[in-house]
Amino acid sequence: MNETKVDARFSPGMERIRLAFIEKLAGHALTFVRLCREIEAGQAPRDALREMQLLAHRMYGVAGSVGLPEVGETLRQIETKVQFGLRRNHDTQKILRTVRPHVVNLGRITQAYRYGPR
Amino acid sequence: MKFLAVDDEPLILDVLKSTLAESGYSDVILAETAADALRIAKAEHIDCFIIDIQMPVMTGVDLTAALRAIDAYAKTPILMNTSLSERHHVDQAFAAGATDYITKPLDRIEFATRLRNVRRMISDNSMAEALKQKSNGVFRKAFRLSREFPEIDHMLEFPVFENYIKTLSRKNLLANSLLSIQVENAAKLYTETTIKVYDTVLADIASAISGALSPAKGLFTHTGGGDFVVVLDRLSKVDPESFLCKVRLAMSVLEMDYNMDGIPVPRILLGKQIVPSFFSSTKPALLLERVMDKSTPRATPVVLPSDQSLRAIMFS
Repeated sequence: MNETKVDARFSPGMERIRLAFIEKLAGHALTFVRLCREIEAGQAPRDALREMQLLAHRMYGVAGSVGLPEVGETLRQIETKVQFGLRRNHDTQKILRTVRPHVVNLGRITQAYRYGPR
Repeated sequence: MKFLAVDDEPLILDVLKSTLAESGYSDVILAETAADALRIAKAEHIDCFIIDIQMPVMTGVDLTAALRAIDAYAKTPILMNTSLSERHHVDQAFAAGATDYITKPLDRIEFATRLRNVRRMISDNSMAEALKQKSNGVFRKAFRLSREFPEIDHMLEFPVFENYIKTLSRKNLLANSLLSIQVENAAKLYTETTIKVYDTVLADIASAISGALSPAKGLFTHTGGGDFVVVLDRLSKVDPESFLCKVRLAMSVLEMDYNMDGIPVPRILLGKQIVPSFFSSTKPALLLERVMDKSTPRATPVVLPSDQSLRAIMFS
């Protein structure tokens, strides 16, 4: 699957946004990985988790709207798991353990969208 | 129909713009912050807002409240753009004045339905506004109508007065001056009382003006609203300030009655005075227009005359 190819389901305007989103997603996937490392290292982990939640929230709204439900669902999982953990004042490492699989999944999907499945 | 979409994520803004364009709405302004949105809303007329709830610095809920505080947007549709995790903010958004909400990710069918509702709402609002304008028009028309009180001495119907001024010869014109008397709170009187009460108060004022004119020669009319125009005989040397004091004195007798009946006490001011000059070739009709023009009213402080000066005026 190589989603960077033009998708006929979308209008030219929406297709342009979809491709821009996929490009942007690659950068954001790296940001998620960096934030995971900061949390792991105990560098202001709560701030890093809040940043992660906000970023996931912003990208989730776009993903579903441009026809990338799988990305949207992964981002929603990240957002809700961080939100839940922070609200209940869970240990940051515990929150990270629930979030990390989704961050890994996001990286995998992003790679697939950009370069096709390996 | 002009939209203003507000979201801190530029791609969401692009999605909204594109989706609106697909639905036939191409007039869409985008703003990434609430501050920008407020600035744009003040500069342009927006027909519908689409606002993200969760934005840094000023949230969508706060922005909604700020927009509702602007008279022009008291009824403008405001759609909140929210994701499932923000549902708990929706109540706050409605409390702040939101009209409806759409969910992220954007579902085109749902969005189209919401847009139809918006269209209907705008149409209803326009109809209500048109009716309001129409009734305001009726109000203005009725308020601006000149009144006539045939039983009051020296008072002419406005068209008759107008004709009278127009037909004044140059010599007669120079022998007269035009003075405008204004009821500052006439609109309040009109809106807060019945037509009958309003007319009675105007008749009281007209009677006071008539009394103030006697025994001097002069005529006056009600030109509409709270405005009267008096033609004063210059030979009788009536001072406008003293004339106003006489009118106010006559009205002060009625003040207690007005208060008891809950009627706003009319505040009577001196307007312009036009004294035709020998060297001026201004036509009488233009003189009347000038004295009636309230764009540059003469400000007169409301100072009640002392007993001594009142006595002097009354027995002069």
